Amino acid sequence: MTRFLAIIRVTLLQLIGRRRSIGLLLLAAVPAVILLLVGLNVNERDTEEFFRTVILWLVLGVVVPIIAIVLGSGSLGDERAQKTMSYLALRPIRREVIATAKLLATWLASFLVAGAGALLTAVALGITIGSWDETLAILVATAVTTLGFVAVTQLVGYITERAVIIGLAYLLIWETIVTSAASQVATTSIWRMGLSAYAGIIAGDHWGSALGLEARVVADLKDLLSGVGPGAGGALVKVLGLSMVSVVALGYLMRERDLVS
Amino acid sequence: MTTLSPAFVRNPTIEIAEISKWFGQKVAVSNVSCSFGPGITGLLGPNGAGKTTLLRMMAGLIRPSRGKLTVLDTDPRRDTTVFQRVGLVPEDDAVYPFLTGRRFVEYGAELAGVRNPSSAAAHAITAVGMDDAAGRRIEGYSKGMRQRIKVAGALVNDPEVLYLDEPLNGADPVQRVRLIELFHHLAAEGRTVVVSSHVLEEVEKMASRVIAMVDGRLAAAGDAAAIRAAFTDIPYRVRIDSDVPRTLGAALLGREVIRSVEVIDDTLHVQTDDLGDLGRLLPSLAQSLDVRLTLVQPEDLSLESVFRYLVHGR
Repeated sequence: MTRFLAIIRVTLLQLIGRRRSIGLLLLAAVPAVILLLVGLNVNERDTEEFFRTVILWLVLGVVVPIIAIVLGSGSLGDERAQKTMSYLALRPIRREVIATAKLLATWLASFLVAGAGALLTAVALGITIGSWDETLAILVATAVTTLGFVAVTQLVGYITERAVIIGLAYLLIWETIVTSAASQVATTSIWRMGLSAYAGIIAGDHWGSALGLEARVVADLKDLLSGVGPGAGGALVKVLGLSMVSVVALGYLMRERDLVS
Repeated sequence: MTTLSPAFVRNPTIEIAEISKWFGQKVAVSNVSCSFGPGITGLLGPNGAGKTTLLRMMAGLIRPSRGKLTVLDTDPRRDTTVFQRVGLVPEDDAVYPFLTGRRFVEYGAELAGVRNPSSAAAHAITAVGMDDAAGRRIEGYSKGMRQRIKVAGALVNDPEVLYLDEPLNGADPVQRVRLIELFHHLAAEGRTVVVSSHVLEEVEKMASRVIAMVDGRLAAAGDAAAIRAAFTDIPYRVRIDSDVPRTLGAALLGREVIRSVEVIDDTLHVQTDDLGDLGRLLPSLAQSLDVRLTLVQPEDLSLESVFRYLVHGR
């Protein structure tokens, strides 16, 4: 347990460097600022609709993934780039334990930054429409999305130095264009797993109905979800599955491939 | 008792059998077999000879493409428990600049599962003489300080096997002496210390046994004199100082043991195939000629000469 916690502590310090953190925190605050600017100039219903159709996508489909891609790529990528892989890996620790500790630390770092932005967005929403009911759902959706992206990019970051570019290209091409156009593959979209968790918490029980506030929520979200069903439990299972695959694959690669190039 | 090839030692802690490593089309290490045991062994070779690749394979950082390697009877790529008993000082600047020196070494102790990380770290930091700077962040360290904190990080788990890749890089003369003393002390305690370096003077000071690599292959093994003796086709060069070098040189000419005689700046240099025969001949000859010998010194028994023969064949 000491080893596990030691890796988490050092990885957090490694990832949340001063310059990188400031840049990512500024990025994380962008949706809140936009929401606040729009919300203070339109009525509550329009603000709510703008939040669900634009800001949620901006948070879960753009900002949170970018933060997770940058930090996820650095999780093991920084160890390789800074040549510290030998210091970490030539220790009596199972490779899967290293991968799990790294994943947990990177998820925590990403969630600290992305979650701060998500919280600001929830605050902006509260200020503009006077409701704070969605705060938990936004934070859970952010947590789910960051875990999914971190799991994937940590693995890519171990394999290649170009993980950030690959991650951003994946975000643009697959997550944004392909899965929006083809609903058959939308279930593989990581950010929609987060959105699905949000929808599950906000309107899960009313998804099939067409009455009241929940019906409006459903209508706003259906386009973004692109056919993916709502449900926090299902979304969590999916990202945990991704995380397990990532850990197992990393353990295998660290055993079978050279640890340094 | 059977004679052992100089590439091998009795009671080895590291055994390497027909090991090769290639990266794509490039062969970095080719069919090397040797072993290492307690004491300091120098891994010597010019840049690109494959010594860092061999060291990295021994440490478990990279996988051999072919062949077998065991460290303390364990394959380091298969069983990570062996890392409890192994330490590595890599050539790279492998430190976390945002940590203090003390925290860096403690982190190593925690990763290694050392029972009392703080105490082990303090001990290792003292061993490399970094007590005063241990509370400062590594990003503010000089190259030599980084090198020493890396050594502390490798020593913190009290390893039985220690790999040192260019360990004196950046260290000032005083630090070098201190580190060499430390490595000798570790070797005297019965640890296996493998030092890779291209600086011959350093290897000569540290290691009594040398594994020399050229172009990815094991070129020679043993102490410098033994490796030199293996070059039977290259005569030894000996410097002889005397009060009458030309007289002595003329007397030596034509002797069976002498290949050539040369006087440069009033100093006699001879080439011989057999140092022993020359050593027996010289006193009697000097006595008969009434010549006073002040120095008889082989000029190419040093590691540098051996290295030159290995790499350039001359």
